[in-house]
Amino acid sequence: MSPASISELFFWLATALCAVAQVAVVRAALAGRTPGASLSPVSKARELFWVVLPAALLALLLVWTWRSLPGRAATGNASSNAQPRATVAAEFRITT
Amino acid sequence: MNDREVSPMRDFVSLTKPRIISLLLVTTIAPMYVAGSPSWLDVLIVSIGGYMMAGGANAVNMYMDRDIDDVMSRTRLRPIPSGRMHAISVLAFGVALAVFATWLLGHFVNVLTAALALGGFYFYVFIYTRWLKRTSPQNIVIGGAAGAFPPLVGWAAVTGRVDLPALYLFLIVFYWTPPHFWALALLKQKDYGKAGVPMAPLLWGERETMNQMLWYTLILLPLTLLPVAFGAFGLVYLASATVLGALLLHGVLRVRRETIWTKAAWWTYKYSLLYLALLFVAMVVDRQFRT
Repeated sequence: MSPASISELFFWLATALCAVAQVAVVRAALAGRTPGASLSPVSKARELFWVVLPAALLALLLVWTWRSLPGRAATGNASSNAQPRATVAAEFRITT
Repeated sequence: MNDREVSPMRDFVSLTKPRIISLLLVTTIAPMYVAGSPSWLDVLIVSIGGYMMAGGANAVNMYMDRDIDDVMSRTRLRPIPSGRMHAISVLAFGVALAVFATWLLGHFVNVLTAALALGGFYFYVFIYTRWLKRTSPQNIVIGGAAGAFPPLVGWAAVTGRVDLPALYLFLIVFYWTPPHFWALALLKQKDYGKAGVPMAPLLWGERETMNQMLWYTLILLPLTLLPVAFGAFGLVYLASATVLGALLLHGVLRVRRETIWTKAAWWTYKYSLLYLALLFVAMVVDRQFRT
């Protein structure tokens, strides 16, 4: 296997584990988990929002990571293995 | 110790919660060495600025929580509830620290670093302490973002920007926070209940909190390994993160498995502190090996 394939395999295994666990977190919030107390629709919606927000940000980060994998550098939109920070920085930067 | 024996200087230091900040400093300084080769002066200024900003946030937190600190045994001896300091002095001290830290970081490092540090201050004071802490069991999850700012601060201090690896460091601290603090919340749930703080064990029950600790740990562990996939870290870090993560998972599983879980929860709480510190040290060691 090439280093690029290993990186991709590594990425997908880690992403799959993150996804399963994150879905479990969201599912628990959807199911409602406050024994003996009925949450108002507003409270439930607010709790769901706070659970879904990090999940959405994590998904965005994983997409960005996918685009930065060494194997995808050939497409011209990702970082190389040797200088990841420099190229990634060119892709998206928050500067002063 | 008798309250009268505590010196004012010691009270001022305790307002900053120095033990908590020591871990924040590790997660600030380590990213500086991962991002580049900072001078000792840069590290010193960022450390002082970081300490003052986090210390300011902690002091303002003690001002805002003075009513519930008096109720909880864990916090009853703090300077305000014990009557050793006036609430308004504590607020002024916290704000002064934050203002000075902003100036220090903005003037001697860069504006982005100062803005990120101040962002962490505002997040901790307003989003966590003022809003979520007393209204939502998600307080620890979202509040964890405040503690995740330091890696961004350290990274920005060296590079002047925020890159993908820096965001991973942010997320690692963010997803580390729930299993860490819920282990403590399980142990101190009666205290939190007396103060009316809606911690997860009180609202969801112990079993569901333990389940959530496991899920968040299972998100955290692959997140710590993903930077290896895009080349930010190498084999030294991969091996360290795997071993450290396996031990954390072992602790969380023990909390779930054992009928009398108190010891396991204490172990997990304490080990998770060591885990985060060693993970960041491993990043620096890995970087030194690769350069």
